[in-house]
Amino acid sequence: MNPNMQRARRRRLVCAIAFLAIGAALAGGRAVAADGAAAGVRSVDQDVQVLKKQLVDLNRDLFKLEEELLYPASTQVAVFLSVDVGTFFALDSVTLKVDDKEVANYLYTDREVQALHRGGVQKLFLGNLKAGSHEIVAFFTGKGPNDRDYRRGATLKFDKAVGAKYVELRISDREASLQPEFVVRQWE
Amino acid sequence: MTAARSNRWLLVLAAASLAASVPIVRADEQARDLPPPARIRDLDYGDVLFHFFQEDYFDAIVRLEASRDFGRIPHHAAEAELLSGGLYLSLGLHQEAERIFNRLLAGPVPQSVSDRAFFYLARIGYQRGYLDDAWRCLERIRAPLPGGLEPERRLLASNVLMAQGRFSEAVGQLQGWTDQTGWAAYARFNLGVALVRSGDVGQGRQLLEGVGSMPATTEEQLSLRDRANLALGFASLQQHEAEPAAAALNRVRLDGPFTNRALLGLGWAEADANRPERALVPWLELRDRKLLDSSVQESFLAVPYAYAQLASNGQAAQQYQFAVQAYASEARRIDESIAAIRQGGFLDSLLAAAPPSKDVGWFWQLQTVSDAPHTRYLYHLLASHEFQEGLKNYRDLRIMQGNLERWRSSLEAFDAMITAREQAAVEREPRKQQVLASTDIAALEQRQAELVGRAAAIESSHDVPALATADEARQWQALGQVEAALQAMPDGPQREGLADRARVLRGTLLWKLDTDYKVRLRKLHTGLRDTAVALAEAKRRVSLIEQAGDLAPRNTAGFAARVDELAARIAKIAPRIDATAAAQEQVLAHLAVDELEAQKVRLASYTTQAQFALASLYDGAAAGGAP
Amino acid sequence: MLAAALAGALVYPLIAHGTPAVGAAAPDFVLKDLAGHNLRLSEYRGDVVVLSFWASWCAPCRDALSQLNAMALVQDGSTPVVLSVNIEGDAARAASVAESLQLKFPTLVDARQSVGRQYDVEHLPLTLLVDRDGVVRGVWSKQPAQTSELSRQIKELESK
Repeated sequence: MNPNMQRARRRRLVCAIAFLAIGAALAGGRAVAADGAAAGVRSVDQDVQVLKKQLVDLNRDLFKLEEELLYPASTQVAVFLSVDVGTFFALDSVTLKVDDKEVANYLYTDREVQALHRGGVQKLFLGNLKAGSHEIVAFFTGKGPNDRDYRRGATLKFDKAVGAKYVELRISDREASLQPEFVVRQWE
Repeated sequence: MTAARSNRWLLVLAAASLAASVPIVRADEQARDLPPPARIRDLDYGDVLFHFFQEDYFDAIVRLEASRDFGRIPHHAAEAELLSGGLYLSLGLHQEAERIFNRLLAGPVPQSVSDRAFFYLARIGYQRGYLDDAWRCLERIRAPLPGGLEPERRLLASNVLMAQGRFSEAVGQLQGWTDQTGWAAYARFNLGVALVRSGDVGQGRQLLEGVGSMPATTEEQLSLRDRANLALGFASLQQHEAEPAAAALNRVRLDGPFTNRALLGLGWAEADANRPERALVPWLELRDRKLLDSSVQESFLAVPYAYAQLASNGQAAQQYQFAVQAYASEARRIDESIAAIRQGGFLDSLLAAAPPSKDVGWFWQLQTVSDAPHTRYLYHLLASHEFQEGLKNYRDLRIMQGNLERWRSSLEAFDAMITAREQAAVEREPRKQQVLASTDIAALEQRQAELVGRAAAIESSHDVPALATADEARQWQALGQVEAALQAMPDGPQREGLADRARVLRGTLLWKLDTDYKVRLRKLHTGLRDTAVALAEAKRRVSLIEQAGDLAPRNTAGFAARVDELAARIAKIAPRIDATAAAQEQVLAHLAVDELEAQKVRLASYTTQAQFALASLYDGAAAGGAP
Repeated sequence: MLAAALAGALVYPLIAHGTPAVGAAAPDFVLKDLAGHNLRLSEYRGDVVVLSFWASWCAPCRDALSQLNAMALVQDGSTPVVLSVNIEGDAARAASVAESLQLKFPTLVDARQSVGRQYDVEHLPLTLLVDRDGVVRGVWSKQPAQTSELSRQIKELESK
């Protein structure tokens, strides 16, 4: 083969391989799937979305049933915990007693405390009480101003009629005295 | 540039544009952008937020829906609706979210809220490949978004347009970009690509040069820079502009995901400049790497090519043969992988072979792939949104099964509880009937009333004789008879004597009765009181039993029906989850097999090239050139 | 998303007793560690978790803890979360053991001995391996888990 032809061949080779090189670089991104495959992906995705929604609905109905079965509205008592900004008190745990019986003892993780500071309200306790007068006592444990161990209690006497009773435990900052304030109050 | 050249540019940049995408953003960012609540006026809404802030989105939505059904969050109706949209979005239900936002935003909701909602929808839509949905949502954004969201919106819009092939419109979106935040580099990259794809190659290239030389620190920035340089490098190669090509490719990181391609390109730059011995340096380096990479595969051809250029035809021939063998064994491995995938269990083994990923939930991604057998070839596939979304769905379906399983066992417990209550009510019934039967309240009450009346009459008229004992009553009666007889007697001493005795007897009797009257009266009252108490007690017991009896059967019947209905729903949905999971696995397996087949095709063409080249060499040798 | 949220969402009091078997969800709990932080198991969703139950009077437990300590230091790239649970509920004793062994992972104190009961800890040591979705994947009872086997399983779970 004469040198010119050799060079010509080489050139073609170069071009061929260069094109392949580019081709390889291009094929680095995956080749677009055939329409059929894309449609398959889409329809399964739709199915999944539908199923997820049904699952949410199902869970909602189950949640409602459970509550109505275990804590019917006529006897239900719910105790919530809310927290203010929290400059004067770092919450560690809460103990709840109803009619002198301990019903809840909750340890709060950092994540939960942050959620409370952002405005979340925790449903601390759900239970049943007969009509009549009852007493709720809550003990709050944590770190007070100056990072010292801090423990306070708060009490509420209330009358339970027929119908759900909501009670809120509220921890708030009292700027005036630079102390946290612990209140138990009932909602209508 | 000529049409031909710009066409090649287009090809190059097609690949680049597929890669430049908006980075996946976390759900909690969406969360933070939602309007913060005003004072909590319904405690149950606070409970929903408590879970929401901890990113327990499923718990949050279930509680939200339940509380709304119970009518417990009247004061937060609009917010709750908006929040539910955001929650559905975070759970991957973007079409449900869109439905909610559309419904909600038709009402009196502030523009800013509406715009933001549609932005999130558009973003998710794009990430999940629903381009039309994404564009539709973008069009509903009326005003520039606040803060860093506006540049992101423009970038998102450009991505959607480019994915739809609408490059000149994408250019329109990105021109006049002044923002200097992190999005700016992506914007320049996209604009560069869009310009080229819509015909303005010169300006596009300039922008990409800019991106390729920008300072970069984060992984995202470095990756973007690499991509720009890669595109520039290969495009220059196309134009046989070796120096600019090498310049651009040398800017690609040595230890990043694009290194192999850069090494290949660098070799070509040297080869193009007629320096094959220098081309061998990156190519030999490349060839030692794992054969699963296409650049590496190509180096198997490039190395012997270089040797041929250096007139070491013997070496070249040997290397070409080596290449053919390597390709053959690789093709065999791919065949094994395809067979294994077809057999099933593909996704589980895929999940098992991937390195750790910190993200959980909707934004979990398969980040990189290790060298395990089936997964080595699927690197690019696995990086695609399509595959990632499918994998997420698969994982979610598995989790759903677990949720149903737990509820199933709970329902059994509820059933037992309800049965026990029914039982208790049933047992109460005969006892209740017994009590009711043996206690004729009405009759008792009547008698009581009578007695009370009589006692009152006696007391008010001081009717002493009424409280006489039986003997006394007889004596009184006898006395009465005597007195009556006395009346009938004629007057006389006999009559007077008897009358005197009668008078004495009456007096004695009366005196006795009178003395005992108070005591007897008291006893009467006490007796009446006791009877009254007993009566009240009996009434109370009967009433309680009646109440309980009335209440229980009604309650349990209602609950039992609900339990049955829910159990039926679970039974219906469970197999559908299984079926969809299987379907999802099939779809992903198809994608994987398609990818593997494509790789085989490439290997086949490389093999052909090698054989062609070998033939050429032998031709040359036969024609008299020294091996 | 669902992965994290569902796997343990709305846990019900009507759960079977006994140490959770492989494939069952690990019951959630919260305990205070020796440093004073309240740590909740479900907040570790997304990580592979090793739970090691022990008591100061249990000698093989110390071996188990030392092994876990050594393993935690050696693993590079993969970092399982290790939580040791002292079921006696005695913080002082737990602290002295933790210090003597120089444990690098949190030690939780089961102050009310509730978690010990929840997990039905009958034999010590008890080691459980929990995957990213909160599901138990390995149980070793009565003797420490073999480091090699444990490492292997952890690697496998971390890849998911």
